[in-house]
Amino acid sequence: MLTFELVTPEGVKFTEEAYEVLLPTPNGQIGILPHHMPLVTLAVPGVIGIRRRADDPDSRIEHFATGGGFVEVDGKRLRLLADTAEHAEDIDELRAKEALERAQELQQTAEDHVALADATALIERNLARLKVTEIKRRHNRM
Amino acid sequence: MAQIQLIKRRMRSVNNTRQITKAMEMVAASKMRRAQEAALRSRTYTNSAKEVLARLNQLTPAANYPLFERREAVARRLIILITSDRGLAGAYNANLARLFIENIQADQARGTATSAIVIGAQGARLAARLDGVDLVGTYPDWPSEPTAADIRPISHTAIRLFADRLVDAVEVIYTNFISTIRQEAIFEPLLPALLPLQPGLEHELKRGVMGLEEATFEPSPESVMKAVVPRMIEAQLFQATLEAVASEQSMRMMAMKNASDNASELIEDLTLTYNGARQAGITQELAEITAGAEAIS
Repeated sequence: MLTFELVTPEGVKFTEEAYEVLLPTPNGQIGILPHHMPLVTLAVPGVIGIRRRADDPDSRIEHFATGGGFVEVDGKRLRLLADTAEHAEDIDELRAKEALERAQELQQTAEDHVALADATALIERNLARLKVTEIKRRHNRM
Repeated sequence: MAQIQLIKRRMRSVNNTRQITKAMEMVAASKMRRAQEAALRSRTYTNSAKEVLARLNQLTPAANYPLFERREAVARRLIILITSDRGLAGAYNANLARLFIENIQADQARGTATSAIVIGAQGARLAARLDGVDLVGTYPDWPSEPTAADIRPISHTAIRLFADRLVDAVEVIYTNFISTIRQEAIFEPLLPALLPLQPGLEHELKRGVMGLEEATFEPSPESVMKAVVPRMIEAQLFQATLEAVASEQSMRMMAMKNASDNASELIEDLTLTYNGARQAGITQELAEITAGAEAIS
């Protein structure tokens, strides 16, 4: 088993044993299993998936939306230092949609590259949130 | 009789004030507790970021990175001043103002220009009045429970100004929370970044407790370093704001406690005076009655 620690500046969001953790990285989604080789990598805004037991089906995977950060893995422990992390249960779909629209508006009206980068980051974060709610809905239907 | 009425009115008014200060004391106490907890929670993040950074430093020396660059001549520096929105917190804002002004004067004596970012309405008002400060931004309406998202625009601005060489150093002035009864306005360098070398950390690194000595860095140690450093700066600034909030609330709590105590003392004094005056009134009436009785008999 793997100890997964999800740490944000606002506190530790998750620290439990897991079988597999799926993370969004610049090179695409990666799955970390126990005895993974030591690795330090970046995380991009996206969806984190946690499979607690080896025989859990995909519908049992727990999801978090993250705004990116970086990851340390040493085979027994996985620590993700994330800028933001929200559990699927805590995400309000309506508010995420509104925030996304606002961010897109901001992107349209951005005057310099800094404002543009900020708006883009906001869009990515809210897209991740919406993706999590979508996954949740799909699993509830099944 | 008129005097007795006056004292009575005064007692009622002091009592009302005491009720308010008492309530403010309780509110501040609970806010302080929450701020302390938040400061504690963010510590895990800060420490982990420092661990990774110390580890990275051995693979790719941090000194080569722009945010670690120590510049010989500091032509302009940026001060981030963290104050509160509201007053009635004892010497909280006064201490910060004093430290801030001292620093500006020192800069002027050295020929260094000063820029400032100010958090909190109290500090913003002060900075707007001061000469020789280029105000980059003010953040009034600061939340009593700040989140990392609140601090992000500030840390981004500071990092950008430093990287673009518009400022050569960034420092924070805030109130360090030592204990419930002791807080200290301090001055802390933020940029150029410092390598975290806590006691014992180097030793642990050598023993490989953290198990990262054979780690692969993806895409590369350099790119991870580039992502870690701004986050560490952000975490440091975030920690400072949390400490500041805890300090503000605990100073407000102490100030309100003192006010409540003073009010209690005042009421006690007034009660004594009131009783004295009432007794004097009764004595006088009695004297008048006896005198009157003697006059007719």
